[in-house]
Amino acid sequence: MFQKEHKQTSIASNAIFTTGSMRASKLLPSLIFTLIILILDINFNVGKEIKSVFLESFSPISNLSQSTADLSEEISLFFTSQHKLVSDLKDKNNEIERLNFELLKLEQLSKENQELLEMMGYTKRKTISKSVIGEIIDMSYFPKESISIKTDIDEIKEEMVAISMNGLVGTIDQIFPNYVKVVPIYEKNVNIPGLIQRTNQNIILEGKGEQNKLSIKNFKNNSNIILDDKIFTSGLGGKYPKGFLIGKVKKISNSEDQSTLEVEVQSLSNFSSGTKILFAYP
Amino acid sequence: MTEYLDKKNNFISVYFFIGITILVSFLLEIFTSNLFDLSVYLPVTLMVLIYWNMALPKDIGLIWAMIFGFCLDVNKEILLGSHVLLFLLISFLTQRYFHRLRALYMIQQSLFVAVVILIYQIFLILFFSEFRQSIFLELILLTLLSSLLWPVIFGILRQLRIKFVQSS
Repeated sequence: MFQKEHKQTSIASNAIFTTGSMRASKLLPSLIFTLIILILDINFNVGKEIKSVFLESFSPISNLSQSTADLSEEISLFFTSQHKLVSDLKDKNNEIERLNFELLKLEQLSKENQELLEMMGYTKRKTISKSVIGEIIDMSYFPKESISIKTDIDEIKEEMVAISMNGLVGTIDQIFPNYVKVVPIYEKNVNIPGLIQRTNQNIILEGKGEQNKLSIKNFKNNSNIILDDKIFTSGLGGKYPKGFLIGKVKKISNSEDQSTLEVEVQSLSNFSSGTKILFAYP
Repeated sequence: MTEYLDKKNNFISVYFFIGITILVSFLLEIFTSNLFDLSVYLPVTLMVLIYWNMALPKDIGLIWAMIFGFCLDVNKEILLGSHVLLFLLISFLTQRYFHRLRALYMIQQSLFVAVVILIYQIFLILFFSEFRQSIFLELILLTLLSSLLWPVIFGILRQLRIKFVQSS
């Protein structure tokens, strides 16, 4: 009956009746280890990296099931009357997506046109003789605020001023072989001849080096000035074109020696807004 | 009659054969869970694990339960260790009472598997799933499906075990 001889003990040890049930103590180490991992994941999110690596490596299986689902849907639809309807719907959706994209492009183009139009409006002024358009390629805030503009360098002269859709925004700081660096009008030591609109008084504005802040130089304490007075460029000296709004009077206080007034002017132009800059002779 | 005494394979191959079957079931589970947009899924890995715990409790241990538990946690993007905890507890219970489970009729075994899977799914839904109205229906249907699938899994794995594996 037996092909091989076996001892009774060997048979007994292999019989299923002798296999003992698992003791709870055998489970404990694994349970503790798992609980530690669980707590670590709850508190420190240790599984994040592992999960991303794992998901990436198992993505072919997920994709396979996705394409299988797509295929089965295609097959079931093919044999129903809905097929044409669904395919039409799909085409229309694609068309809508394409048109939305076109619309976005047109909106961008229209915005750009508006910007250009506003800037070109300045060229209709008699005081602006020649202008060159440029595109902002870089902005920098350190060591000082400036924007780099790509333009036709041959046409650019240092005495030109930078005008954006907001109006006069800056002056040329440096000319490089391919681009021009422009600093804002509120840059320290930039002097702009201005005019108080209400009183027609000529003044000199000086940049304070802080964003959108200028001050009036040597302004006598008996001068007529009130808060929110509008200051325009006067065009005197020929460095800046006449008639551009520079800003409004924000703060008036007496200087230490009481002989002059310290007037702070808030510039209204946004130096780094838009995408285009117009360089113009005053 | 005495074929169980003639060792065909060594312990390592038995151990890895079990691992391979669980790996296949794990891949199948990922595949099926991505196939349908359901909150619950068919726990094929758990069912294969239950089978091996019943059939070869001495060989399987708890390592495969831990490895594939972690794999499922990562794949389902839930807390690391949640599937492992459930797998460990279910493996422990199955290994503890495997004598009694083996002695049950197939229909009774199916009922046992259905209850285990129901508890397992409820735990996962309570802690890690978003609540949807259809979740009750999904839960009942998949538990029913699992109990129907158990004799198939049992039969396939039993045939494979008889053909390729001899317990240590």
